[in-house]
Amino acid sequence: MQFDSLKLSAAHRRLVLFQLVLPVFLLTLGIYHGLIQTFYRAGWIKSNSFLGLEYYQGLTLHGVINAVVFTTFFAVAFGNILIPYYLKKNFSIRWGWISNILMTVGTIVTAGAILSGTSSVLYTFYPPLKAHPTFYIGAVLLVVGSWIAFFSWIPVYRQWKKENPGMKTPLAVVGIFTTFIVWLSATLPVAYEILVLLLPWSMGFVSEINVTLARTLFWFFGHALVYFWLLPAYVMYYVFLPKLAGGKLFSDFAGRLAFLSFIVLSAPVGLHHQLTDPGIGEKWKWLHGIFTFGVAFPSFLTAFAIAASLEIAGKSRGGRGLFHWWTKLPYFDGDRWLFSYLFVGLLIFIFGGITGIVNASVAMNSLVHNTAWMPGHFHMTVGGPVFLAFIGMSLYLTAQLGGKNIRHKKITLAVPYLWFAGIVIFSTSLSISGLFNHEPRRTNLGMTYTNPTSPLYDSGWHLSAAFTAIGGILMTVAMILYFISFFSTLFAKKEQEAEVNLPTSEVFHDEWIPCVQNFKPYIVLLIVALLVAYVPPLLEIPKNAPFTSPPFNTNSPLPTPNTGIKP
Amino acid sequence: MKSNKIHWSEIAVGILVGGLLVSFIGLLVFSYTVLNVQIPACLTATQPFEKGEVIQRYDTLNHKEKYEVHAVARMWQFEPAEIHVRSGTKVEFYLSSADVTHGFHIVGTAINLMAVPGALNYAAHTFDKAGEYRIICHEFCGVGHHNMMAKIVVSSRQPQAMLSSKNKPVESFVDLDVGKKLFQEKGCAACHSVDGNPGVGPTFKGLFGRTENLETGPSVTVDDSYLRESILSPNVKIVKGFQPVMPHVDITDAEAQSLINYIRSLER
Repeated sequence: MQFDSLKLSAAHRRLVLFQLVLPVFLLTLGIYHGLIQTFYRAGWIKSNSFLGLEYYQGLTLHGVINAVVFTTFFAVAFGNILIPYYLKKNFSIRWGWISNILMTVGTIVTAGAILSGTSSVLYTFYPPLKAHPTFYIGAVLLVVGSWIAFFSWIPVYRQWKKENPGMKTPLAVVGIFTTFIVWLSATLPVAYEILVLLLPWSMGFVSEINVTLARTLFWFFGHALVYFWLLPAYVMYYVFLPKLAGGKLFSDFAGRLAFLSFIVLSAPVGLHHQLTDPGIGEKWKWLHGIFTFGVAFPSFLTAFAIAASLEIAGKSRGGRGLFHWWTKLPYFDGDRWLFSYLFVGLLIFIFGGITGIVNASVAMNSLVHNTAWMPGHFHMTVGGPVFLAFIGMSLYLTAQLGGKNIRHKKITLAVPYLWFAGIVIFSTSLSISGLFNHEPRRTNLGMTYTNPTSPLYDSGWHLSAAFTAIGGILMTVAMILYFISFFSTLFAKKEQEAEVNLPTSEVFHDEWIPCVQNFKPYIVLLIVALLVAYVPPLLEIPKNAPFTSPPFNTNSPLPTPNTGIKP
Repeated sequence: MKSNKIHWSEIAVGILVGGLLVSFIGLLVFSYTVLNVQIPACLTATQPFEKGEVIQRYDTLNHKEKYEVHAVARMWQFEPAEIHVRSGTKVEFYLSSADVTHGFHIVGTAINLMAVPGALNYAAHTFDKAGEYRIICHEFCGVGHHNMMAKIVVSSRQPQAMLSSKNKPVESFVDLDVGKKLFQEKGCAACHSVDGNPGVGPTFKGLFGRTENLETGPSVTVDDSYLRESILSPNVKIVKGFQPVMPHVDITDAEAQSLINYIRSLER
């Protein structure tokens, strides 16, 4: 099926450009504080705060901007392009802007709460540490805005299905819909946690909160969140990467099966983030552990299908034999720079995935929980394939929507490789130190543990944190190059008509397999899986952990006075 | 190529990957059932503790001593701040939080727990190697988070009342106080000293674990069962050089155990 270039109306173009540019702009602050964190931890900054931002405040900003705001805006913007491109019919611009305004206002409100210093609760906002009510309100607005975007695409899809009976839904649409179905299943529990538990409590209407319940609802959201991040990158791997490599997608069936499996398995696995918690019965921890191994399955399938697709590309470019074709891929082709963003992401993801399997392995989790291994792991997943795919595609679309060409191709091409070098040093030192030396995460080490004058000093952590900072410097340099490329392209003169051309791959094995052509049965399976996985542990909480907690400010060990009703 | 059949290579990959994941799960089940690797467990029958302390207990099932640590995590310290235990002894950690969610990670071990307010966490560990182990908090808990650290000091010497009193803070060493009181009340102090000098009967100082030659010939290593027998059925086994004059003592089993714990705590 051929897809024509997409010429969007000016209104649509402005909407999507806004949604691509705002988060990249915010990313400058997010990346800045990522770098500064490594300096604090290495003991190069031995203080509570630096240049007006306190450590834990900056950590909150870093997590919220990079992992929540940037990713959510991108997923919406990406869908806003994929839907009209592949379904050749556009969504309502009015709802598009309503969604965008909600997301933007929410972002500003939450950012304001964090910058005011009253909400340094990290992106997990675990009670009974309390943030300012506007922190929670902003998050709700951001999420509801993203829902509205998804809802605005559904009528377009249904119309397309009516007009194209018997045709396969374009794989990119399957992918982005999967992304947002998973997002809905994730955000409903956290919306409950925020609207029913946290907000009234933080405003003083309710005096206490059940912490275990809040944590369980958060991680119900928190694991599916990572698939919300990964799935748009998977869309790019299945649909764009083979074409960029010069080949074809090995199998379209693999893509559909993988996406539909993610619908079922992304959410009922959240307890693997609570394996060391009390309050959750052992049985449920094991159940979620096994489900988590299930959700590894579609990722392995993807690895095979994409590798096979790359082999087709390599062989069609003159490669032979078992390994030689790897050398024929367009790693350093300035005109296909997007290939290297996606490819380097895949390379990093090998280690991201392996460390993820370690984390899911029930008892083995005790060796790595809340150690530096964790940020080592997730910088190789959300900070690897997801981040590179998102910034690559942001640049790609920003250029095309503005009718511009990429200004500095060599600089653009260098970004993923420099990022890779940084991540290798960064994540390796974090992982090794976390696993063998139990270096903790979420801690301002420079105040004590990496401060040689402190009685708490640990020389092993001091050394590994220094290496981590060096990795962080390389990653920051990569991002400076990216920002140069992005902003110079954004502000360049318009050179041609603004139209979007997505490098859509043809399919090598084009199979029509009936069981993967419909979303509905998988949504039903998702609901069943969630009931099985989450109802029992949630019902047990009043028995296992019945006591509730008053709010605490991060600055004081005394609970903040609260005259609300007792829940 | 259009077709209605799944390509053979994809079926092969599906089977391979499925097999790999099933084998991982099998290994996990093996570790849990055969190797008995535990994950932190929640205790629902007990309320979270409010006070940190270390209690020395006698595990009657395994005839071994064990420690029960009530650890309380609060902003921004752990109680007890310093725990002293003997190597080779099982230590049971009962972890509560007095305020927000904290981490409890004993560096150098697999004890890695969350202290969540409103719930009680449990894990057990036997420290084989002597040394100092740090306990750190790895979950953000406020501005003092990076100052939270406690210590476990594992020594291979027998614990003594002095050593045990180094467990800070320690409110009461439950069993030992009772045993010490009984030592006076039941009249043992009349014939047995605790300062190393023999009286009418052998001194209790350093008695536990000592090898004694019996009047009847064989030698015996003083352990729980020997002490219990000596208390409940005196004059059956008399140490060489002493007379069979110990009177019958009116004492319950539990009281005898408290006395034994006290005697055991008296180091050479």
